[in-house]
Amino acid sequence: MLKIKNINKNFGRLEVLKGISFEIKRGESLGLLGESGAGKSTLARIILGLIPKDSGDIFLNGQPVDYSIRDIRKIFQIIFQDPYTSLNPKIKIGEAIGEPILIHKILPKNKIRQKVEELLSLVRLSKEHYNRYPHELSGGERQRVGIARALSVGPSFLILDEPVSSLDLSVQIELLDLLKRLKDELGLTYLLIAHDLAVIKYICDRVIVIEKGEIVEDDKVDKVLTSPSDAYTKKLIEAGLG
Amino acid sequence: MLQVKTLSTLFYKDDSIIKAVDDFSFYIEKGETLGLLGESGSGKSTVALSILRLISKPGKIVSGAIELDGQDILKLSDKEIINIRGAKLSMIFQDPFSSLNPVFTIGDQIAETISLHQKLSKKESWRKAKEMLQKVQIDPDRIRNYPHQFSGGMRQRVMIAMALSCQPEFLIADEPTTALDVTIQEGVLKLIKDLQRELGFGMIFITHNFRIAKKVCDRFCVMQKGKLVEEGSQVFNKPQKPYTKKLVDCMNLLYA
Repeated sequence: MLKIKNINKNFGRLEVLKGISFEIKRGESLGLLGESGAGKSTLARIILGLIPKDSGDIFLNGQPVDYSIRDIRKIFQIIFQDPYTSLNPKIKIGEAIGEPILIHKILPKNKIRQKVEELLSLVRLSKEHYNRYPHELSGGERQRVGIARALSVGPSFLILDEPVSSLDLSVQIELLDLLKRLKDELGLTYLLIAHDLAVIKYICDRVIVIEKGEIVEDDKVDKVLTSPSDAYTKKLIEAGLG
Repeated sequence: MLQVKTLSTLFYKDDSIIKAVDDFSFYIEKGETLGLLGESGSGKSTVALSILRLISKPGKIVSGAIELDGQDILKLSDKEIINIRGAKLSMIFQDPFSSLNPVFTIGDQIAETISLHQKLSKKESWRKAKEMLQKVQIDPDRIRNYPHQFSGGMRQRVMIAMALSCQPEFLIADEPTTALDVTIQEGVLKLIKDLQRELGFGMIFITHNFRIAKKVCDRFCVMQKGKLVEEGSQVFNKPQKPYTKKLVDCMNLLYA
């Protein structure tokens, strides 16, 4: 579905991404594992078109991706790490979820409320959440709002950038289970960025390990866990799951 | 021995009262590591700040006793507590980026603690500060560097050097590795444990991360909504309470 070919990105003299290439198949959940500064989020931003790449190509279903059109947001969406800063504190939950539907003119105004209520129930929030403000919600609930908002435009590809790392463990599991279910129900494709191998193991089929802007490992999760080919991956597994 | 007896710390907000710590008791011996576990908002950090008497308005310690070798810390004057804080009782915090003063060198900051509590000359304090840096495996020649010149893991080592510079009896470590990468976490944890063996302090290790607690601690207290849910060393192998069991199950589901 998505093909990334030889992506390079520098910030000044700092080489953040050095020749990154990989593919994601439709319906796959690919984990992107790396420590802080490895280049994970930069890669996510480039795939989304939020920042330009220096060189390299991105293909969607065989065609180069055109980031100049707004419609690209109907295909790619992102869930951010921090559910506290990623929602506007002055906008009601229901309106936050409905806003992308309005902007992309997906439904007429009078149909939006019903759609938002469907999305709320899809992420297991209740109708009453429509009129609440972000500060009235817990971290886990806010993250569900983020997911509902991302899904409102009917994307096929979600980038999950550390979606559970600021949450308590029991809430992490609830959200990961929700993400798994949504993927199956809606036939989504995931790129899950995490520094925690356990989170990737819980949800992904395949994992890419990135160190200092380079891919050092790309294989099935089970395979990487049992017999990592790279020394750095081995260190990450020992530190992260030992 | 450090004993916290029926401690209650409340926060007054508008017309409501939040019981951050509610009738909470535990003890810790020197040389031992006690894990204080709980999810966010359970009151772990408020316990830590109460022990150091760092609770300020709108919070207040309303009842209980905190006894260090039999002496109730809560009864000490402000002047007396200053002599204990940083000396007999010491603390390291979660965020090594905001817990060092950016405008002073790390040498200034470590030596300040030493000269304050041990009444040493400037030269002597700096010599000891260098010794402490060596202990936390930072090149002592970097003593005149500023915090921004160090990585997160190294800053946490500087914090550890500062906290241990006066040979405390007890160290409170509040999520000391949460902000660090996993490969760095391991080095910092090992360093803390090695120094504990060498110096013999007791440690209250506060974390929401059960996996790390299991590795580091001898005994555990599980907190929920300010109250003690379960105490002992059986928490991971044979949790007694449904809440503890739920948390341990979550950990096993994710990390097994």
